[in-house]
Amino acid sequence: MTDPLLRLLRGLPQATLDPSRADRIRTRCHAALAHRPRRDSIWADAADIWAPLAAGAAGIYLTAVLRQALTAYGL
Amino acid sequence: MDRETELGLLDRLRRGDEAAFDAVYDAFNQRLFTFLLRLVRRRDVAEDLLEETWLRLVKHTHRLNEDTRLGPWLFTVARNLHVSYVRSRLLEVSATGGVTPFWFSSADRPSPFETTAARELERRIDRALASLPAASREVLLLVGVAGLDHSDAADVCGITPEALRQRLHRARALLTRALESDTRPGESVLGEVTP
Repeated sequence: MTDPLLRLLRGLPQATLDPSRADRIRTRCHAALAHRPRRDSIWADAADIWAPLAAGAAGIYLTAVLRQALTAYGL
Repeated sequence: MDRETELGLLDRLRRGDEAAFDAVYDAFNQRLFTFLLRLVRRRDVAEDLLEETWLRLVKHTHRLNEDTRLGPWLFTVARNLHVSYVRSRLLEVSATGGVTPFWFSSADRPSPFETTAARELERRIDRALASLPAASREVLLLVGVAGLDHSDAADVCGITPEALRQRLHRARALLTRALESDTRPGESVLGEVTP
């Protein structure tokens, strides 16, 4: 960083969080991690399965439509 | 933290790994706290906003993308929480007056590092930063103090990199002016750091 003003700001001391508060934050976050919602991941897993199936079905449907159209026009 | 390490931690964090959270916490906590404290200028409020930032992360781990960049994500949350706080209190924090050595830990006596940190130069910078509009202070803190590059800082502020550059240019000019007006004749704050 060559800008003297930004270098000056970068040289400012970092703030120190009170250790008891830091521990409290960490503890609360660990608890929240342990109890975080699982529903979205279940739906995400379901989406992983259903998305290719839906794409396959759509492909088959479009192929059938195209085939009928070609038949209708006698091609 | 290099990108490969970050992606590894992110992957583990998305699966609820506590050790991964601790690693991310250790990597970003001090910078986030410094950013919030210098932005809001009240230790109790900065601590509350910091705690809420981390809680937002753990509550949203399962929604993070595989390539989420943790630094900009965390600073964006912290910044948005600050904006919400200012709006809710109808408080223009940049207009506050006296300067307190807020980087001291309230629980302990100042360490030699903290004592050094309280030098006159830093008090002057702090006064100058406090006199700036919140948007200018924010961009200087993101780029100068938190060390984000222009692109990331623009993402955090929700503006384009070009707008960020312009805002940073204005903020630098304002800070320089504030520092000069707070400097006794014959002194130059910038001269103290210019080789």
